[in-house]
Amino acid sequence: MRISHATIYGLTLLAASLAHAAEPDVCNGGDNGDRLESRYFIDLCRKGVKSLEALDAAVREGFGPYEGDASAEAWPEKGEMQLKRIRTEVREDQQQADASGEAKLASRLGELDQRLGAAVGKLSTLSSLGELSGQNAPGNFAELQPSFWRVNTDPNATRGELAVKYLQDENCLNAQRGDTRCDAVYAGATKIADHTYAAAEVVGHLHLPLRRQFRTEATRRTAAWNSYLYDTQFQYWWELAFNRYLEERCPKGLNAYVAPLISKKCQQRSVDSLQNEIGFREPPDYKASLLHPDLGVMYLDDEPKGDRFKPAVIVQALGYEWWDWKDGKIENRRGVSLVVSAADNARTKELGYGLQLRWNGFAFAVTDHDGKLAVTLNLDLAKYIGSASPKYAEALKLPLEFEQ
Amino acid sequence: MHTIFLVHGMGNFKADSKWSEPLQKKIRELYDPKKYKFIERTPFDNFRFVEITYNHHFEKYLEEAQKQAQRLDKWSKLIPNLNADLFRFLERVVNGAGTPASTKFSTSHLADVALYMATDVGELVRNDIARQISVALGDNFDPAHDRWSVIAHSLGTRVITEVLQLGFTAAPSLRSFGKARVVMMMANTSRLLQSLWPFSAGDVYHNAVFPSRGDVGVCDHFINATHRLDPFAFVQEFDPPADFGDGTAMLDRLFHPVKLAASDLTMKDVHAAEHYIEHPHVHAALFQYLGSGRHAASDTELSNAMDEYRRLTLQADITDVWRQSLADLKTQPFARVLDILELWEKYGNLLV
Repeated sequence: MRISHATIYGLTLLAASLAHAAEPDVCNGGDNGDRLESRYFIDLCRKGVKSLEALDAAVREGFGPYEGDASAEAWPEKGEMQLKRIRTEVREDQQQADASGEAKLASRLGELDQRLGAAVGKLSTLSSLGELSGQNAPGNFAELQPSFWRVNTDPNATRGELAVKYLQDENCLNAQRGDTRCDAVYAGATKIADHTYAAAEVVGHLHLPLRRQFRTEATRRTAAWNSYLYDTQFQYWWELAFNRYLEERCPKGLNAYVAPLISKKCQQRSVDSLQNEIGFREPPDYKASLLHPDLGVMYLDDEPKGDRFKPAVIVQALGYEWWDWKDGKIENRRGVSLVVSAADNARTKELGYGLQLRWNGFAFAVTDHDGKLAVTLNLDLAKYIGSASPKYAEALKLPLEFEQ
Repeated sequence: MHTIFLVHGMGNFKADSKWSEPLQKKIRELYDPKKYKFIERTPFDNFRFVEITYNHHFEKYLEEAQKQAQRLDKWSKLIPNLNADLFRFLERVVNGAGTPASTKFSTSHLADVALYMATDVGELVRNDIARQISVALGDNFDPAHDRWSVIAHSLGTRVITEVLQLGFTAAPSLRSFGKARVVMMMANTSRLLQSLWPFSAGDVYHNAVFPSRGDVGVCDHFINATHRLDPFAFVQEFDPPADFGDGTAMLDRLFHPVKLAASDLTMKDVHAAEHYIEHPHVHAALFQYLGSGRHAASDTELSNAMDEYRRLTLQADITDVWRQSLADLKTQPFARVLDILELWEKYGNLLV
């Protein structure tokens, strides 16, 4: 049997058409609830709806370009104007629905109008965008939160749900495209949803400065905590745990006694009634040292000549270090500790007790070795003196050998 | 676009290692509209994965501690004639400095947990994760049509619980990005670590981290997957009471617990994130709520997926003796912290 070219062409077209039919229609397939979901949350579909693109552009234009603090101050007023504009459009649609006898659509649009009214009212009481954040913001400014307006296709939802509720009111939620009555209802639902989406765009844009600020603050705090851990005297793990414990004890505990002496504060963490922490903590500006071992160079006048400078171990039994924060950086590190120092002494007791003072990376301790006073420099200070003074360079050469 | 953050658990996860690729690959494989028809209208390319890494903060600290310990180690050579008692005391202090870098299973893994829970390295981790989330969402994130979700595993469940708690109560707050669509926890350790920590660590059942239809909470849906034989999950399971969150999460069916049976084993590392996600009840729940939540896998689809999964359990390279050894871990006492550490050490030995 011969098959003509026309038949082959026809069969090819049929096969292609069947293959296409087998592929799901992402944007318009499924039931009306699915179509609504795709319209806003599937990029491919949303970008294909020109009216939504225009709506996005109108909101962006309404706010204008973001130019820092000045924009943030103007944002609430611009947001209010835009929500009022959307409200006017909702009312027009509501009147139209009333006029054409679509009572259920008019009723849902009426609910949307009330919500928009509440949002406008809240915006007018807003003194700064900062009020939209924090623990109490969802209660105080629910209508000005992005999640309040995000279109929701769950019929049990209580936020952004008016369009899907309308589909349900009309028994069209599960209807497929092609059902003439439900297609008309779907068109009404998209009106509600588009207005909701427009409000979501406005409220979402209102939060743009806060999103930027959140990122800036998180970046700053990350750098500051990093600085706290690595730009101050290194904390061994037991010191880290001890300091965390002391911070948690505030406004009680050891820090409560020490903080006023060094002009710092011992503030309680911000927590709720169940001790859940509220908001991110700022890094401290002081900390304790506990059993902190270090190496240094001891000078003892009573030792034989030529052996007066020697390597030493110095342990800060307990002490504090404090500093200032400037532009996210640590400055003016100061410290004082009770110390134990030990060196391989020929004439003097090996072990001594005393006090260490620290300034930035330099530390200097005076310890009592059975009545004889020893001075111990930490390595940074010893190296500094060695490099600054030729007189001491030779004397410090041997003790500093272990740093080679 | 729907951004899905992947948060790792305990272990060696390096920032540049692309550690989440196997997990992403697994999710991509499982996201098959031929197996689950309800996902056919949500193309996979509408999702993008962002991995969150925090282990480098522990590594950096431990490396620094080791460096300090090595430096201090020199003292014994410099001061050889110190008396014996003093020598021993200082030796103990010096050795203590190097302890966290031990290679023992429980110590090396738990050093991460201890550093996170008991020290301010945890503060660095929490702030850095908040930073990573906000940077990844970026200026173009539009809460009107962009969504975000979190899939966390093991220690990562505690970490992300705290980041969400702090982030949603802060000013400025994560709420400006809108609530997360799904928070999914696999081998949730947040309750366990709360009770292990001797000081107050809040209450994970009654904080800001819960699903809600209203204005409070941090997400629309909360999925919690636990395996009966996972020694990190069963010691103190995340099993919220009826009044979880604001008291409506359970009533509104927004909390979705998925409890995997002892027989559901396809690999030795029962605790692994990939092992959890492979289970049909886990990934089907995830796929359902990443979308609208209105449609789920049909009974037939789930039954077919479970048949296929059971074939995998039979093919798994696990002997009955090994399986019994794993099951026996559940009969060990784990009332005290030391018992728990011993339990985890035994689990680590089973994986060797």
